[in-house]
Amino acid sequence: MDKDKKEYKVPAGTITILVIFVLLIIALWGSAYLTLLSRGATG
Amino acid sequence: MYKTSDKLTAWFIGIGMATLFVGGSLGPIQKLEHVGINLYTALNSIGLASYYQGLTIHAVLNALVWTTFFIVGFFTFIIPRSLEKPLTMPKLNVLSLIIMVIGLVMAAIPILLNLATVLFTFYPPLQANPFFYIGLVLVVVGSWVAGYGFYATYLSWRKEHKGEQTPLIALGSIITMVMWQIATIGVAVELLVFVIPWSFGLVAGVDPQLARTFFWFTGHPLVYFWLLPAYISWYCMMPKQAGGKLFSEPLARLVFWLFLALSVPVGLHHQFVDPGVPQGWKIVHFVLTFSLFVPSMITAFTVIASLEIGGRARGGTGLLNWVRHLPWGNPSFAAQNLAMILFAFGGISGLTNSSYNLNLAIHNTMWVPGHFHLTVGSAVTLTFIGIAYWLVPMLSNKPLWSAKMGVWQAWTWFVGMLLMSNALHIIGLNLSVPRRTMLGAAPYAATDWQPMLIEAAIGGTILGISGLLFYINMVGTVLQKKRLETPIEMPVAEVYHAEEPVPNWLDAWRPWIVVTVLLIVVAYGPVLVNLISNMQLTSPGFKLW
Repeated sequence: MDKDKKEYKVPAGTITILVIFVLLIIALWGSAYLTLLSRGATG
Repeated sequence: MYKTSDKLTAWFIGIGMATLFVGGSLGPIQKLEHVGINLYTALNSIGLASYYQGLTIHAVLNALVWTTFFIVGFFTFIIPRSLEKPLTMPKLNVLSLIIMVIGLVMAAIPILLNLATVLFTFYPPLQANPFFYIGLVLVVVGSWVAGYGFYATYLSWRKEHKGEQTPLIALGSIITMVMWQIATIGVAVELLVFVIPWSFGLVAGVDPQLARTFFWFTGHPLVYFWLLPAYISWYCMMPKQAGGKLFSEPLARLVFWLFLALSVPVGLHHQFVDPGVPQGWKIVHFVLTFSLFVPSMITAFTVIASLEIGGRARGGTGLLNWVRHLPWGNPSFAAQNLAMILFAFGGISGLTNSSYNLNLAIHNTMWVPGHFHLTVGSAVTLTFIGIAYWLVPMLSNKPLWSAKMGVWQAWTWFVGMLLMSNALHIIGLNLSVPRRTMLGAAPYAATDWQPMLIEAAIGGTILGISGLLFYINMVGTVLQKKRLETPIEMPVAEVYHAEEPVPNWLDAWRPWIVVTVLLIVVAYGPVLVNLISNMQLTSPGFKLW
């Protein structure tokens, strides 16, 4: 276990992937929201 | 030690795979119909009456039967091994198989005779032959009985291991079964109290709004009944296959408990456009649905971090280079990892579905099948396929017929699903193309739908080829004469921080059951009282196709 900890402490790759994922959520959800808005308030 | 449970597992999984073969075969045919290649005329000669009968077979067999049989079979295999003891009451589990098979046959006959073309949701006032509903009830009851067999085994283990924490695989499996038994109360009430008497003609009418509400009481947690077994594999097995370790056992346990508490009180987000459901309760369910984002993101973090440990242990360096070092040549791993990537996109479209205002833009459009083919059609089914790549060799004591074909199968599924779901999402959102519609015959079909429908048809065809590769591999594995030289073991990941204790509240049932029941009562109690007190059993049944 000590050896493992020396080799690998912070899951930096995982955090990077999750940041990209959150940005993707914002972009795709946002584009759907803009589509909704483009149809007007009661469209 | 596990002879009975292994035999039962083989039956459950074998039957599940057979139903997936029939249901899955109809998928590409639907997509080809949308671009004007109508194979239904040819299928008339073998008794398929309509596109909608084919759609019902596709959805019922794939989403309800394949999943339930595989999950019960998978749990029958992993719970005894996780607890290191055989099933305590194996007769209960045998009985569950018998009940589920009787239910499957009873439901399948009316569907095949075109007496139950009511699609996967069997919304009244569409009416089916009563035996279709009774068959579905028996499939669910059979899965309950399997659950009782698991509980008996688990309780016996607890008696023998006082003070010990439940192994994670067994805990996740039992939580899934408990959630399922709570969730299916909704569909049990819908079918037993309202729909079956109505379909027998014992009562004149049905209240479609009330029936839909009971359906979605079960319908959304059904998604988590599909997903949690995949999560068990992602958390507890895949890290081992990748040479890694489970990053955090407490986080994994917390996720399963949160899904127990939050899976059920969210069903109204499927009914945002239903006029009979009060708006305030839709918003309550909208908020609760978004709370599911928390265990979902914890899962994304923990599973990827567990794989990162493996990728780095296999020589990966840098920020993301470890991804290349994961065992992509192992079909079981490749299928499950690709399933997770597809699920990431399915999660995003799921957030859109459950957003109260955004749902208006995509409700009942092709967006929705685009979404659930990424969830049940990818995260779940491709993961189960990945599990089958080690489980079937283990059960049959024969090596996988072709690992290379398995990797090809996983990638073709991935590419086919990306193409199909991308096209369905786009035409649903941008062009409002309706779902559950024989588009090739729709007089209002527009020419600007065509490019995306062609993309979906190409994707669907690739998926069909992928499915075929899977079945060739499975049949080849079972029928070959070659035996395993070294026995395969069920992959079980070690825990990275094994020295850190798991808090006792993550192994305690009572508080979580109390929270679960309270949330259901708060989120569903008033709305059901309202709908029941205003119910009107007046709608007759309709048979459209």
